[in-house]
Amino acid sequence: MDAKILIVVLLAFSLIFFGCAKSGTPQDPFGGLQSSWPHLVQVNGTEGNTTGAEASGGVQAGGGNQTQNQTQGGAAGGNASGQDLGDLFNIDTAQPDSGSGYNVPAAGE
Amino acid sequence: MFFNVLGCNRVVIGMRGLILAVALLAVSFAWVNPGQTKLLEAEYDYVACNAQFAEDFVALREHCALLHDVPIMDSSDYLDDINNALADARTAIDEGNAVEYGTAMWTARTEMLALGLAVVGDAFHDKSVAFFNCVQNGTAPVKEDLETCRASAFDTGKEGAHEYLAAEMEQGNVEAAELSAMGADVVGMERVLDYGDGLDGDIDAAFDSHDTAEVTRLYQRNNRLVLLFRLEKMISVMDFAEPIIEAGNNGNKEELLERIADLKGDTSELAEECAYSPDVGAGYALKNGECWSDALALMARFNSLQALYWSGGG
Repeated sequence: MDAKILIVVLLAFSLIFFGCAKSGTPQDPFGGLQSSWPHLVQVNGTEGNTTGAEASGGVQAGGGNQTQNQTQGGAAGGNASGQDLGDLFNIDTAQPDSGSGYNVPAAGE
Repeated sequence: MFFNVLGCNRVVIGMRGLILAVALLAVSFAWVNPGQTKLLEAEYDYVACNAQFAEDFVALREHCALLHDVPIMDSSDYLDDINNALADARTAIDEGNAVEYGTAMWTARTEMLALGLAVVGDAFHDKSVAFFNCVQNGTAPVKEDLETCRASAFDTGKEGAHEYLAAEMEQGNVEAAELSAMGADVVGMERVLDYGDGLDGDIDAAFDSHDTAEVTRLYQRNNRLVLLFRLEKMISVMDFAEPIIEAGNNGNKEELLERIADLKGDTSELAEECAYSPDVGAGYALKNGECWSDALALMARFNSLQALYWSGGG
């Protein structure tokens, strides 16, 4: 699992730098978000999207997916509150314990 | 800070959502029930009781065979295989690896059945009445030890089951409350949580019966409830998200709404097909398997909405 995380993060970083071979004027990646989620974005050149998400669950409540996602653009870093709607689309897929041990008989009984 | 680099051109913005989604999916992890270890250890104890009985029973047969001069099968390989499976289960518990634990228990079951069949087969090979009487007379105290051992395992299992379910319920209540606080309708989730209360009330009787079939029925009911809670949560989230996305400016709005509508219909249909019942009959476990198989496909579709949402600018 650790190797998997490392590989994905390294891939992410390499895609970031590959995709930005040409530098340009930083844009406001949350322009769309600002209009629909004003409480998540602060105006005056600051923007941010903090998500403290956890997802899924069942009675077991799967998916303790805690992510802190600070993004900064424009002149200064910004803090934002509220939960991004996108974070809610994360449901745990793990199944609960099945009690398999109780299906093991005793030979000779 | 490094996300400034992402803002350098419009092309990368679309990639940002995908990268975030991929990275987050990689580091995301399922909630681990804090009561899981105790529950698995209780099951392990139960199987260890059975393994000890098998060892004692084999030793008894070998003793009687020697006493009455009859041939006896070599059971050492079978016992080694059983003990190896138990060791793997123990390791899996210590590592918190529920999947490996399940595999190890499946192996233990297979090996135990193999030994049982071998013993039955061996009984037909040159055995005397005196041998069978010897085994029969010696079995009673061995069985008594088995029942004492199992009783202790069931007591531990009962405590573990209460803790496990309580942790599930607490987490479920937290998730329902959080969604409700945001304005989502969580009536479906709350209904499942009510069923969970009913399940908790049946734990003591099941474990006190010392009947593994009764205990297994509890697990099957819990399995169905966990599935249904997840489906109801998906429906709540989609109901909540639809009008927000409709009113917003997400770049993938149309596709999002279409996929959500389709998925919501399919999820509601599955929740109906897999409706909960506390009466666990012959086909319940099989139905659980089918429901989970279908649900996992829906869950994958649900989780894929995250990347689509973010790649549309959120």
